[in-house]
Amino acid sequence: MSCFEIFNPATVFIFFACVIVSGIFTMNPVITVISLAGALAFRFVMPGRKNNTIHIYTALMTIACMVFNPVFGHNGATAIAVINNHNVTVEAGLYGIFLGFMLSSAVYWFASFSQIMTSEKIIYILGFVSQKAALVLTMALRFIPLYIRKAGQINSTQKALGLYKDETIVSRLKGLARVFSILLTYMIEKTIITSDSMSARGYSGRRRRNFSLYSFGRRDVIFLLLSLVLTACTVYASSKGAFVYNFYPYADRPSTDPVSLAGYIGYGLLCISPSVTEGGSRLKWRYLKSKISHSDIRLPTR
Amino acid sequence: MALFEVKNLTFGYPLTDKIIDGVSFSVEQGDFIAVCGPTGSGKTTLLRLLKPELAPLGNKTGEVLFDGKNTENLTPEESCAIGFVGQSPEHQIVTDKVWHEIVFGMENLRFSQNLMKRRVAEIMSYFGIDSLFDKNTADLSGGQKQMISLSGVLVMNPKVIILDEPTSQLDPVSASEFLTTLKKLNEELGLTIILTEHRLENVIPLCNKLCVIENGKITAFGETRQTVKEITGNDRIAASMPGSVRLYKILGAKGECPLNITEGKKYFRENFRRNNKPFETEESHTDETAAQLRNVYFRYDKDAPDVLHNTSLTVYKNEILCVLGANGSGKTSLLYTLAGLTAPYSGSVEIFGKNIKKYKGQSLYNNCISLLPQDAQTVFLRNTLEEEFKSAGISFEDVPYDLSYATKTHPYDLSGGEQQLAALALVLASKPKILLLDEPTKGLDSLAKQKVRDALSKLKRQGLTVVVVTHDVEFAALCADRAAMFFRGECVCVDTPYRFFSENIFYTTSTARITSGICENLINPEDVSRYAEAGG
Repeated sequence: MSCFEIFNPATVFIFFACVIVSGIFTMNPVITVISLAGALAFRFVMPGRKNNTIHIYTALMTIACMVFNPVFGHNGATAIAVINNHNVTVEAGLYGIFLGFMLSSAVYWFASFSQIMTSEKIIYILGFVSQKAALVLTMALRFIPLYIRKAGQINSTQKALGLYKDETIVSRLKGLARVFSILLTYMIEKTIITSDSMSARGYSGRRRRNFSLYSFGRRDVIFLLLSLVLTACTVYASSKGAFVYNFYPYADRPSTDPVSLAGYIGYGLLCISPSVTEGGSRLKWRYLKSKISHSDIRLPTR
Repeated sequence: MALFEVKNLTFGYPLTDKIIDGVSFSVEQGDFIAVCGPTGSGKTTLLRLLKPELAPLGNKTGEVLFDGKNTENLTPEESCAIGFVGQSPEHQIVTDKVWHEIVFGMENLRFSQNLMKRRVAEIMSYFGIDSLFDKNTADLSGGQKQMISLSGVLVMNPKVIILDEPTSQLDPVSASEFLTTLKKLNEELGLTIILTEHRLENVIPLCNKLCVIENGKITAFGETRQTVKEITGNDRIAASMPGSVRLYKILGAKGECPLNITEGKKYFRENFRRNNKPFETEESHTDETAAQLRNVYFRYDKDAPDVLHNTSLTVYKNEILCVLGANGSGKTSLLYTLAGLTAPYSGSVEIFGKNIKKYKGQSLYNNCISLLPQDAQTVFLRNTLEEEFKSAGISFEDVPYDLSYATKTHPYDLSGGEQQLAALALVLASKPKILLLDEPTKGLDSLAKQKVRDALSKLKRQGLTVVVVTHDVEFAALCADRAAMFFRGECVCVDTPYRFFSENIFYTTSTARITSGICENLINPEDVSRYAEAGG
């Protein structure tokens, strides 16, 4: 279990918003590389089953950006080839690579985000913005799969009734329309039962009080403050123009003045902080476990 | 002071006659009242009139007092002292997570966080369902869903719980579990319970009062044993009574009325004398095969367990075969495999001696096989029954039972039994030789069940082969030529109903339970009346 599971979802949400937004809106190679490294590191230390095909997608995306950007954009001074009277430049390729990195880092951050933020946490966050929207979302999560399953049932019923008279496309489309029509009637009918069940339990559209599974503890305060301070640091540096970087006509050397360095360090710390937190808590577990095994107390093995 | 005081209540929808007609009764604190009556008698309307939020709109006279206060003037908080649980486990659940479903009502009433937390902990520990806390509601069984709905009402600390056929959509095991829970709440917490139910088998032994309602009027109301005795003369209601009560009626209705199996056994031993008619227990099916499964294996997913596991079964021409078994034993998968809707990964299925794979295109569904699924509503498409029949190319005269009184009705407005019969008529439009039915008696009252039974025996006489998957042992005992039992995807036994039900000890009809050890081969009340000496 990730230690982020016990953070308040609001903390997690704000952290990811800070990291992803500042990463996306800054087209600076250093920031992009930091963001990508942080995202990968976090993905690495996160426990749980991970889908490794994601690396293939991000690699393909980066390659696609690298190839297509020079084909369609012809800025830049260092031409390596001419296609249809247009220059294919090194700078455009470079821009494509970093664009690919930026998108990949966003993909990795979102992957970790969705692994931590289960539907109920999203609903919890949404509850702050709009109670009605949160309720609609939880109901949708209940009813959409239900109706998809129902559509499958209706389809097999109609099939066994001899609905699809022949194998033509027209017959199939007609069949689909029938299934949809039955599903619609069914949904309308059943919605009445649901609304009865809601009003029988006191629902009247008045303001509700959302039940919360989550508390906001000391660790949330610390982590949130840290994230906000580091983000402020990054935003300040950015507002001073420290991250301005030009790919065209010649690719700049990234600036190394003190404000830029402070900005890089701030954003770097922000990006690495979840990995450190996660890694730290894992080490702590190991330590605690070693204590357990040295004492006489034995945990039941699962 | 009575908890509910209903005074001369009359109600009718704007365009209909009176549904409830001058009803007066009172409910005492701690009562467990079963409301019974035929479909359309106004049971549901009466219950909904007790719960202000659900009270239907129409012409209402008379009043309903709850705790001395007219229900129309209750505040939302006061009204939550009246809990309500409906019959559809699937659609009365609102949210996607179990914990959210339980707190839903408390959220509406703006309980404090601590109180909500405490109540959820209390109720889940009390019922021992704490392991469900994080589950998705979609992953629960029907019985678990009803328990969650009940919990979601109980956390608001109601004084009374009203339940409208809470077990009609459940299998018998979950149904009796649910009713036992209600009894526990009634006894341990003094909670007042009012429920309607078709299946009175399990309810009569539990409730302390019985309310019989017919055509919107209360025809009997009072202490259960006394009321049951009073209505033995009323054939329509008596048909829905438990086995022990029906045997009591058949054996002359002398003395105290037995309400459960133990009392029934005692009464039967003392009052039953067998006449000398020989039993007819021989198999009566033809030798021709209609459908045959040989060592069939099926699973939904490569990594999932087998649903059908080495299943072999022969269906003979022109018989009614009832397939019984617990939830998840593969009964429904068997039907879908016979209907060619799911393909086994091993083994063969033959329909009329021809492998099912050789039926190309739609030929399997034209004049050959038809399936009526569990939810009959998935069949209907049009706005009236007449249009429905017209588009299927059948007329009301073709149907082996009468539905002509409902030509202009929307199929969804028919009662459960009528829906089942209407859907059956549509399924028969393709002139099948083999008819497959999935739980045709689910949620039906005894009269509707009898209609389905009559329809099936009529179809059998016309030469059809019928395979019925059902939980309803009483239904199977009455209409089957052979009964099969499924367990873990395998057909473990097939036998004539007489041998099947009188040799079974646990999974059998209530009549068989009462008569076992005293006189074998009696599996329905009809058998008892046939083999009892005249005069008892």
